[in-house]
Amino acid sequence: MDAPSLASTDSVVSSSSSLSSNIIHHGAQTPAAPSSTSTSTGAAHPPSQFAAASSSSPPSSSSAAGGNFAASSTSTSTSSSSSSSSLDSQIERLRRCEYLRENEVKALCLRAREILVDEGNVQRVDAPVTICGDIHGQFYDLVELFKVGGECPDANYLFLGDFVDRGYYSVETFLLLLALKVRYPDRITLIRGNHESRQITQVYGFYDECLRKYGSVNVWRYCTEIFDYLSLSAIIEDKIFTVHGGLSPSINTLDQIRVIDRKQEVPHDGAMCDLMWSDPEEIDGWGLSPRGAGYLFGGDVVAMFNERNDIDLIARAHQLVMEGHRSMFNDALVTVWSAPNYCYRCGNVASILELDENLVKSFKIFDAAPNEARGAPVKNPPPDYFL
Amino acid sequence: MASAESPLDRPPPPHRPRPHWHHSHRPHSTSAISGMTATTTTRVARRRDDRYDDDDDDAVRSTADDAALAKLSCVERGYYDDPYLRPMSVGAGGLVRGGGRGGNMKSGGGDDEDEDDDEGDDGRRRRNMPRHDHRHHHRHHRARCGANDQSGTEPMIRRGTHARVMAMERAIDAFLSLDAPPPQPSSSSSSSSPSHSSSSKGEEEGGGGCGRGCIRRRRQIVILGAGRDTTYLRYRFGGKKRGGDDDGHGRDGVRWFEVDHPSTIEQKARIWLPRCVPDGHDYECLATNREGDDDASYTIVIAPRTKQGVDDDEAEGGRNNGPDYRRVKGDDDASSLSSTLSSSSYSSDYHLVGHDLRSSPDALFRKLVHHGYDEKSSSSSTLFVLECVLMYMPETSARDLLRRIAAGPTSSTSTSSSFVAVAIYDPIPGHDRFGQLMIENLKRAGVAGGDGGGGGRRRGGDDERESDNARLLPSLEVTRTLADQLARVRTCGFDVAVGCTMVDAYEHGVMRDGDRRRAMRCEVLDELEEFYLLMRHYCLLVGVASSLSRGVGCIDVGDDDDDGDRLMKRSIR
Repeated sequence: MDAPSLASTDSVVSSSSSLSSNIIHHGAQTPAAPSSTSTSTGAAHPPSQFAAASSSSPPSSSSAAGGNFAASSTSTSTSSSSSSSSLDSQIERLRRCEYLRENEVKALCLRAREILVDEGNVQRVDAPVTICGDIHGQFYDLVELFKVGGECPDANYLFLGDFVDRGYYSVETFLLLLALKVRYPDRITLIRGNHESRQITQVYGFYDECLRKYGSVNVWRYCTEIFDYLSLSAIIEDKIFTVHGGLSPSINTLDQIRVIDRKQEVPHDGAMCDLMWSDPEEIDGWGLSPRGAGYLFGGDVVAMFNERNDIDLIARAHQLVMEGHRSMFNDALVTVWSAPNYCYRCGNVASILELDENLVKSFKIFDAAPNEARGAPVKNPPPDYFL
Repeated sequence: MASAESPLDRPPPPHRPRPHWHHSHRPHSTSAISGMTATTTTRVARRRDDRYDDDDDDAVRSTADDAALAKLSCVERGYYDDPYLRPMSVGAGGLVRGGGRGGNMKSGGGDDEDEDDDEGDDGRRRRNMPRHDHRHHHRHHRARCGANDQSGTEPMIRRGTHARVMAMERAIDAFLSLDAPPPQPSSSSSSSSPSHSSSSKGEEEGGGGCGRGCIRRRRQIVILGAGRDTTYLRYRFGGKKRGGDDDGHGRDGVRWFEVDHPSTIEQKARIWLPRCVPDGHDYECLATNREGDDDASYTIVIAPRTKQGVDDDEAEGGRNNGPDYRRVKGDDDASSLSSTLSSSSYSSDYHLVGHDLRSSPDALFRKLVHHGYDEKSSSSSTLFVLECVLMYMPETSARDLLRRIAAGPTSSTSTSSSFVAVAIYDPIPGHDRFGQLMIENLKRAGVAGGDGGGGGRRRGGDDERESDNARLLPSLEVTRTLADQLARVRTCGFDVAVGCTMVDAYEHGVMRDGDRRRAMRCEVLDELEEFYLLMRHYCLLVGVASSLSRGVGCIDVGDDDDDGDRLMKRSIR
């Protein structure tokens, strides 16, 4: 294996320099081309104002979402504008469920990192926005999701993590979302789920998939390095807190989340772990999680957290909900699940949660993509049962 | 949209146990098979009923590999101990590592399973994982989220497989403890904990050996669709529990029969079992099919290695091999052997019987009787274990089989107290979408009968199949709920049937707390909701048919709050 080891914090630094040189090289080779957002995306959808704005100054405008990623725009603007057409073509390929070449992944991850590194642990997101739960490598269902909710620059998306593992297309799924993030950083927010982890991906399929599709684990390394940069949570218009898993007994305020040093593998305990692993439960206070990580938290915990932080709602994912979404604790918390027929076995529907500019909620339910829309499903092994 | 393949073409997933029978051509591993004669057996392996599709047969038989690999994955992750599984899994589809490992297995969990927690885990991980550099970086993490093992088994499947193994083990333990002298009159039967309360049983098990002064029943355990099952080895030679202590069950006077398709039995006797022989033991495998019966059947003798020519093991084997044990030395002439093994002459406690379970149950029992199966004596007790067996059978065959099993005790005299129990582990797809998909997916894998549509494994139906359709409707599609399962067992002649979903078995008492805690220590289970969903679609059933109960009516049939342990106990009182 000739790829640099990116696993330890030390080597991340050294590897980043090699990635950097590569991307400059890559950018210089790409003929500068005017960005052509409207031709490449959303042809069937009338571009919204936001889409128009981002296409006129692609892709790092810091105006739309506000918050704290202004710094990235200057550092990336030259290379990204010159290679946006190649990025667009990559997005096109990814939308066809083709995966990128290894060096393209490497370059994409570097550019993504430059954007993600400046995002806060509680990333600010403006409404209207569409909140999406777990995807888990179900690429064709993600395509279905975009059909239901609108294509990416047209609609503003917030994904709550768990992009990879379980499904057959974790590579394509994550790279598409990442490419969209690089291309339209203000129109899509990705936060980290408990599966965006080196350890978990080795158990639940992403590692194997990378090895199978690329013949080496380099792509897995590039991706898992990027996982470390994903934000931990988001706050929509200061009123709706979103996180993959839930709350942590060591977190009372959003500011306590903001000071976490997130650029690491998901730990096995502590606040960062809990945010990605915990589940709401009809209990009082806190309970042990049967998952083996994180906690169970009750309605009183949620009420206190929401009051203390002056928020109306916690939106989270992490748990399969057969109906696609579930509200708990007098609508103080909602679970959004976006992987229909999870693992090609569960038979559930999925949902996305649309918030309009007044934060009025509406769910869109969708089913798994029809078989005709999928690649060659027969090639994939059927899901496991006890035999 | 079309399946546009990307720069790198996708090779097929490398290690999936799908679905074709993986023939292990490794020849009878030398030393172990001494007394076996291959001549009588090779020709039978290909025999099969024309009604059934070859591919389906292969797919169904390969589920033995799936089960073994799932169990092996559990064992290697530390869920429970079974030193025999790895050698037993030789050549199982998808097993890359370990399968080729020759030589005999040490008993008692010796050389391969590291006992120490951390070292063990690391050792396992080292073996299981493709080599890559970052591994050491995460060694400090407590939870064992190591690499997927090479069988591709999901943690959820491991967790559920562990529960299944433990549940069936409890059923067998309960059965074997029935011979114990009736314990303190009230203790176990009157512990009136509500549903699924088998906790009292948990304390007493192991202590209830029938060593002292109890009435000896003739006990028999018949494992149907045994495949690569290692239960016999675990009970006989230990290694069942952590630490490898044999608890005494299963050694004395229990006859074990394993039934499976003749080709599976053939491989088990010749290839798989010899690798599982504990150190210091000889393995002999005697072809013992009945006259005029082509299906492979074997009497297996695994005996402590003794001096040449010692015919009588009594000194050492009195305990190990059961009171009836008479060692059959490697006899080169199988036909003479099969004639000596009549139903009355009992030569070993372990028999492999080749039989297609979809064919006549009467034939099965004739074969069993030929191997010493006893259903006539006045106080025999038999447990039939059906672990994911009925699900693959046509519903009518499943019912015929159950009916025949239940009919056993009734044929005996009115004074007998013999009984037959079944322990069933089976899917219950129910009528929800999960269950519907389960049926579709299993059909696609070619293991659940039906049309096999979508799998592309079979095209162009033959017409005879259509007419047989109703009769051959797979059990999985007919017996869909726990209530269906219970009703089927009752209508087939069992006096008692109790059951629960595997979620209840897991959470409410069939699964011991210690086992559950151990499972949680083994690895993080992230997919909790899906795990429960899956476990809700499997069930555990115990049915009892007792000659005594008929006419006496001492069995409280309606009590669904009881669990299998207590019901089995009560039914023979």
